[in-house]
Amino acid sequence: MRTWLGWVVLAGSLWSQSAAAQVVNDGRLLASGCFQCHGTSGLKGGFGTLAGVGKEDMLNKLNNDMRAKDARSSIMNPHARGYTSYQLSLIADYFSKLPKP
Amino acid sequence: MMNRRHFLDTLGVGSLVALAPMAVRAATLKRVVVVGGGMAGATAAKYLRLWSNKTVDVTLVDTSTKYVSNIMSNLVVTGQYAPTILDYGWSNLVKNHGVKLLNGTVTQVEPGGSLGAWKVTVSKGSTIITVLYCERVVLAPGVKFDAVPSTANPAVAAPILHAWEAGTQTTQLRDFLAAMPPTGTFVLTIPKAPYRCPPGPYERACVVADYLKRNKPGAHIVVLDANQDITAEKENFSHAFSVMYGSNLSYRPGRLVKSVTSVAGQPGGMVVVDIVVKDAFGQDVVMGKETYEAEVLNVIPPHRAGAIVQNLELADATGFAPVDGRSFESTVAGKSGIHVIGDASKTSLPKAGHVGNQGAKICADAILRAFSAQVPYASPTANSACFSPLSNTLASWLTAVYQYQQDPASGAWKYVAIDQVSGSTGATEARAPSTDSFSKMGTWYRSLMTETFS
Repeated sequence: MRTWLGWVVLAGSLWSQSAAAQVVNDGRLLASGCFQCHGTSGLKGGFGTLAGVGKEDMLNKLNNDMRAKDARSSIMNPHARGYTSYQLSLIADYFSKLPKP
Repeated sequence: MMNRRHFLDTLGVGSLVALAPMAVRAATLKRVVVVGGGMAGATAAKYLRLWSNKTVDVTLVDTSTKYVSNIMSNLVVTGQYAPTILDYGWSNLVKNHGVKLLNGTVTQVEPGGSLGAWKVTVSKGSTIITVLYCERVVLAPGVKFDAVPSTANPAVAAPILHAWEAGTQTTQLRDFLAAMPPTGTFVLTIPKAPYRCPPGPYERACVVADYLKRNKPGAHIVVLDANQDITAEKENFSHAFSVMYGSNLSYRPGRLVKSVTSVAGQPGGMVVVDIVVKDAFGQDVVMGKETYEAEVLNVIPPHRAGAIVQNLELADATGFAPVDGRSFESTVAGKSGIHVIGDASKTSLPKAGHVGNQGAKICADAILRAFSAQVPYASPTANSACFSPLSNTLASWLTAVYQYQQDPASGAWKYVAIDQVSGSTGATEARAPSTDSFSKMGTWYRSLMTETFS
């Protein structure tokens, strides 16, 4: 028979599982906007692989090489400028957790 | 030990049908029917499989045996590229992702009772070939073109060469252009927005003007735009029209097509337009009529969502299907569980292949969340990125990131393109066209098509 404490632990673990799945999915959905040019799941696109790129490396590049630059000088600049910092961090986090090809 | 996946693979779905009672199957196996295998439909089918680890059963139904890309088709019109570069199929979606492919036309979608939320009837000609039950339906039928009245008898539709749905009309227009007299006039008409691919008609005007400049220096192109101004990439197209093609292209905004004189299979014809201006209240005022004669007449008629969306009464007065931007689920009463994606849906996103691909992923993600009793992601983003050729060597680009957000004034949720650094709204276009962008256009096209069809 399941105890009261057991139910609390079970509910807690279900909650954390669904919360974890939610965070992963949010990053994946946002990052999927990169797939058209950088390939499905950041692999095999014509504009460079994103799967497995370190989070800090990607954020540095997005922020310093693209977001800080003139929007019209390169097609990636408006992309980096079009997301909030929080969204960019979810995107970079998602790609960093995929295995490097 | 044989796990459940392996068990299913071994038996095949057909055997499972015989084993499991209907009600049990409906409760456990999640099924989606995707109608239309273009940029949006193919992407939705792929991601419903990929992101569910192949646990969702997906059937993709298309009337054709191949998809012919609208993207890049303007460079087939000018003969620069072979038509085969536009041809794509669904075999990689079957092979890589286990999408089930069905060739036929969806003629009915109705409540499925105890066998599933929706019953989808698929026909070939007048024969019903199969009936599919599913929990969700994704409609991606693209657009259908409005009839254009014939000048001689407005009750009769004039034959129209639009080449705005790539295929036989693309090569027909190519052949007519190639055979045009050396001093001929090519007339291109552009419908009022929203239409498929906002920069597309201006791109076509440019590459045709470029072709004429190089091959028929005595010929010219007249562009009759129902809009009051260039609707996309205004700076680059304005520059191209006035500088690159100042000698052989005439751009006339505020020209609304009223009727056409044409013969099927013949290149030439006449088009009658109203000259329309906006008054101080933004209302259209007709200032007069004009008739243009063309050796090659290329009319892009206004369009609306494809037939199945009209038949199921999913469209509103605009001709397109209103949807919840978080899931692309229809907002029409009684139609929950039916999603409309791509050019057929009514959102503030542009109607174009790259963004249609992203809308499909938003839809697939929302359906998979619904299958695990979660609500759609509240603030998805979509992006549009495209390259437009302005000649046989130069291209420009246009891009935007759209945030799904609530308008503080009206309270309405919609996709808005915002630069998060400057706060400015709207899409961004390249500073100038370049050969580098022309080269990147090829890379973009191949990447986008691989992402969509494999």
